[in-house]
Formats: sequence, structure tokens, C-alpha cells
Amino acid sequence: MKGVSAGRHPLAVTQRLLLVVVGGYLLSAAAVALGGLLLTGVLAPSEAVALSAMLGFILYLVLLLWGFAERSLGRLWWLLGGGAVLGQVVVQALAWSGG
Amino acid sequence: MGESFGRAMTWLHTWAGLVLGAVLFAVFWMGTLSVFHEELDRWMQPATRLPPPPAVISLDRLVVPLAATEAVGASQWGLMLPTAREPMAQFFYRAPDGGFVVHAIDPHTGALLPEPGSAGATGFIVPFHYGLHIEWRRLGYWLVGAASMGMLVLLVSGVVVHRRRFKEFFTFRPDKRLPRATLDLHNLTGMVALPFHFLITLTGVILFMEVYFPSAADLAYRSADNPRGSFFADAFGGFRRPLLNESGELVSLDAMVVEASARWSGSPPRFVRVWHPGDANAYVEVRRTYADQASLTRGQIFFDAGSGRILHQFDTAPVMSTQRFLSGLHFIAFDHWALRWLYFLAGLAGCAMIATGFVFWLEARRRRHAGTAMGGRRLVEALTVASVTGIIAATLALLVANRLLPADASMGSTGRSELEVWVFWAVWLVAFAHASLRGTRAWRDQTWAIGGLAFTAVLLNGLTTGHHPLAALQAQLWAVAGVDAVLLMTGAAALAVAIRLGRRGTPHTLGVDGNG
Repeated sequence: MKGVSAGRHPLAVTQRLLLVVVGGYLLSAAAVALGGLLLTGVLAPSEAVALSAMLGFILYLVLLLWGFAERSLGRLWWLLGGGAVLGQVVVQALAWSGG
Repeated sequence: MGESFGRAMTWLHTWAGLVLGAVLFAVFWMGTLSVFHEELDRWMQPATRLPPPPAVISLDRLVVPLAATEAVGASQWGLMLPTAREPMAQFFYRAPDGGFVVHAIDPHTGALLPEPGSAGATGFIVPFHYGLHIEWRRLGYWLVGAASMGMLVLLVSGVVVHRRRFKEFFTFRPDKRLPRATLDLHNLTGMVALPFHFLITLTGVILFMEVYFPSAADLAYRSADNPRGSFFADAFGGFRRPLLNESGELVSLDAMVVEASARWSGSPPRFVRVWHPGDANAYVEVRRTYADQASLTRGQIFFDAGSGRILHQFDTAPVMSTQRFLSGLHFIAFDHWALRWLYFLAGLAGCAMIATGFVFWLEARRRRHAGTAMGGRRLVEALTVASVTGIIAATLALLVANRLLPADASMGSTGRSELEVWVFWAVWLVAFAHASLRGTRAWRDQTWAIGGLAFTAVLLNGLTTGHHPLAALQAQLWAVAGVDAVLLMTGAAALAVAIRLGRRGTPHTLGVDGNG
């Protein structure tokens, strides 16, 4: 278990853990919500929500695995951290405007 | 996909397994037992050890008179009909004060059965499996959900980590030294049951998709007053109509059941409920059984109580049918004994995989840090012992307490069924304390305890209910005989392991091939 590519410094590990587990979840949840909304164009709303949510677990799993394999912490910040914030902002904005 | 990916997956597999192992073992253990929750209920609630239910039940004769005397002024009442696995019927109503009351009844006579005085497996083990009994802000669901995602990560990374061993697919060398044998068992249980473990975990989170991804419904139904409620009604069906506040009749429930069953190509109903009983707008909800289909698709028909005419029939849409099918795979609510036992065995394989993963971690570090004091490893070992043998012993102690506590046992405001559960928590806590004090020897001690408790449970069941295994077989109480048989096997296996652990002593010098 030598040569942990994830970076062994506790601070690096903590950042990675938060970015991947929390950021990955928030990004997945935003993708599920937006995907569900898009799918309402072709499916009944309940069907769109169900399809998007089921696929969301696969997306989250892929993000988790990728996030722990990706060497660059910077890229995690951009893609998972940034993606999660952007996604959640869009979701909240749409939820507000549509009410 | 180079060497660095393999290393990252090894790191991930090791630490995710270490951090989540305790929760995962608890969830897998309780889930494995939940496969037989009805049978455990029969064992833990002897008053429900009834002969098989009658093939045809007249609701008009059984439940309508009962409702007239028991459920006066109720805003709804109904009956959960018996099945082959659940021989009693359950009569329920919402009392005028808002409380929800459930009474088990004998479907042959309509007599109310005495209070069980035990939550049974359905009331304790099943909710433990999906919510850890942590109800605050649904934290338990979220912990189980996070652990489930962790399990999926562990399964994928495990395949990467152990990929070389796919060549030695069915290797198990119990005669080798402990770490080698442990790793073999870890790989064997992991690989043989890999598709089951992956699907059971994925379907477990899909089952609660609206809990884990609530914002999807919020956005798709953003123009509705109650987005989540609207999603639920569309996805799972439902029908409501308000009170009219004029008195109304209730025509034959049996006729409605016959009509519903005909629409379900002969499948019987499982659940019948009268909404607004006595009102002119009263209506009757009839739901289909799950016993003859894998999917949890809710066949649901609503009848007008006064005329018996159909008001609404709900059909599940295609995507939700898929979700209900996946949920049904997880639930195994359908009748299939061979598959039920396979689920049980694959669940046990999952427990063995998690436990051996832990043991391998400990052994690898014991070797590397031989002679040095290592507090972290000792804590992990105590945690491991408590979360593996400790939770098994605590579960068996629950069964022993179930047979030892007198029917009217209570402590202050704590009733019998809560006391039973307290025994579980107390024994689990003691197991952790014991493991912290005893170190590696705790494995053997607690394995002895498991053996003793398993035999004691069978003995006490025989003494307190008269249904010792042979009597249970004679009385055709298959559930009781089955639980006893598994308990006896557990006891025998535990004794064999305890004796072997005693003979081997503590393995301190090991040859481990570290990259596992």
C-alpha cells in the first residue's frame, strides 16, 4: 500500500474525501434534478423523476471511483467542487423561478 | 488504467472497507436475517404460530362485525389478509383521536390475538437493516445509503484489487496460515456472490430513491403545491375523495375482492381498507398480493362503498414498473423457497466477505508492526470483534431475552418489547467493552458465547412454548422448526470454530503477501 496516488497528507486526504463524497453527491443530485426536468419533455413527470434518480446512483458511483483515482486535486476542485456549486445554483434558481 | 489506478483502488478498497466495514456488517447481517423476517416473527411471537389460513376468507363475516364493535368512529379501517408465511390477519383502524391501532387476529375465528410483547424481526431487525434505528432527521437512512454507495465502490475496487485472483477462482486453502486462508475466503465469498452483492446493494438504494434524491421531484413538480406528494401520487398511485357528511351504506366487500381478483388474473388481494366508513362518500381500497410476482407493483383498485362500482384503477407506468421490479428483487416478498435460501446464503457470504476483509487488515498490520504498541490497530480489532461476533451474540441474546422475559415484563414505562431490544443494545455494548479488554482472545470468547446463546435459545423455545424442534415439525410449524434448525447449526458451527481458535492460539507470526 505504498505510493498512495491519492496523496497521503491528511489535509489532502480530507479535501479529497469531502470533494468526492459530498461534492460528488451534490453534483449527482443536481444532475438528477436537471435530468429529470429535461426528461419531462418526453416522459410523464413521475417517470422522468424515477428514470433520472435511478441513473443518478450510477453517476454517483462513477464519480466516486473516478474521484479517488484522479491524481490532480486541482481537477477535483474544478470539476466536482465547481460542478456541484454550479449545478445546485441552477437547480435552486429553476425551482424558484418555476414556482 | 495503469499501475497508479490499481494503487488508487487498493488504497480506496483498504480504507473504505476499514471505515465502513462495521456499518456494512450490521446492515448485511440484519438484511440477511430480514430474508426470513416472517419466520423469525413466528418464533418471537408464539401467539401467531397458527395453522395455515383458510383458502377463502369472507371479509363480510370476519372483519365487518369486528369493525362495528372495535373501530367505532374510525376514519378508516381495514385488514391485512394472511399469507402462507404470515398466518394471522391484521385488523387496523385509525381511532377518532388520530391514533393508529393494529390488532393481529386469528383468520379462522376472528378472535383478537393477545399483544405479542415483542417487536419481532419485522419491528426490529428489518428497520435496523435500512435505518439503523437512528430516526433523527432520517440520519439512519443516510448512513445506510452512504454505506451502500461505499459497498458499491468496494465491490468495484475489490475486483480491480483482486483481479489477479480471478484466475484462481475457487481457491480456498483452509489448511494454510490464517491470512492466506482469510484472503482466500474473502475472495471466494466476494467473487461467487459478486453479482448478488452488487444488485442487492444497488436495488437497496434505488428502493429509497426519493429519499436520496428528493430534489428531482421538487424540480419536475415545481409548479405543484406539494411537489413530493404529487410525485408520489403519480408514481405509486392513490385515490382520495372527501367526506360528504351524510350516512352511507357498505355493500359486500367479498364481491369487491372477487372482482379485483378477476382483474388481476386470479391473484388474491393482500390488503383491504375502507375509507370514511359510514359516510355516503366512503370508498374501499383493495391491493394485490406480492406473493406471486417479483415486482412490488402495487395493483390497486378503488371501489365505491355504497354501490361496489369501480372508481379508480391504478396501473404502474413503465419506468416505475422497472423501479418496482428492482425493489421487488431486493425485498423478496414473493414466495420462492429455493431463492429465499439462496438470498440467505448469499447474504451470509457477504457477512463473511466483510468480516474476512477486516481480519486480513488486522493480520497484515499485526505482522508489519510486530512488537510495537499500536493503539489504532487495537481499537480497530475491538471494533471488528464487536461488529462481527458482537452483533451476532447480541442478536441471539435478543432471542434468549424474548423467551426469558415474562409476558407482563416492564420497567417503568418501558414495555416488554422495548426491554427485549434494550437487551440487544446492552449485549452489543458489553461485547465492545469485552473486546477492548481482551484483544485478540475476544474472538474466541465471543464465539463461545454465540454457541451457548444459540443452543440456549432453542432450549428456551422448547421449554416456554412446547414447540421443541421435533414438536414443531410434528405440528407443521415449519417457520419455528426452521429457525431452530438454523440456530442449532449456528451453535454447532460456533463451537467448532471456538475449539479451533483455542487450539490454534494467537497467530502472531505470519507470512502475508501484502498486496492482497
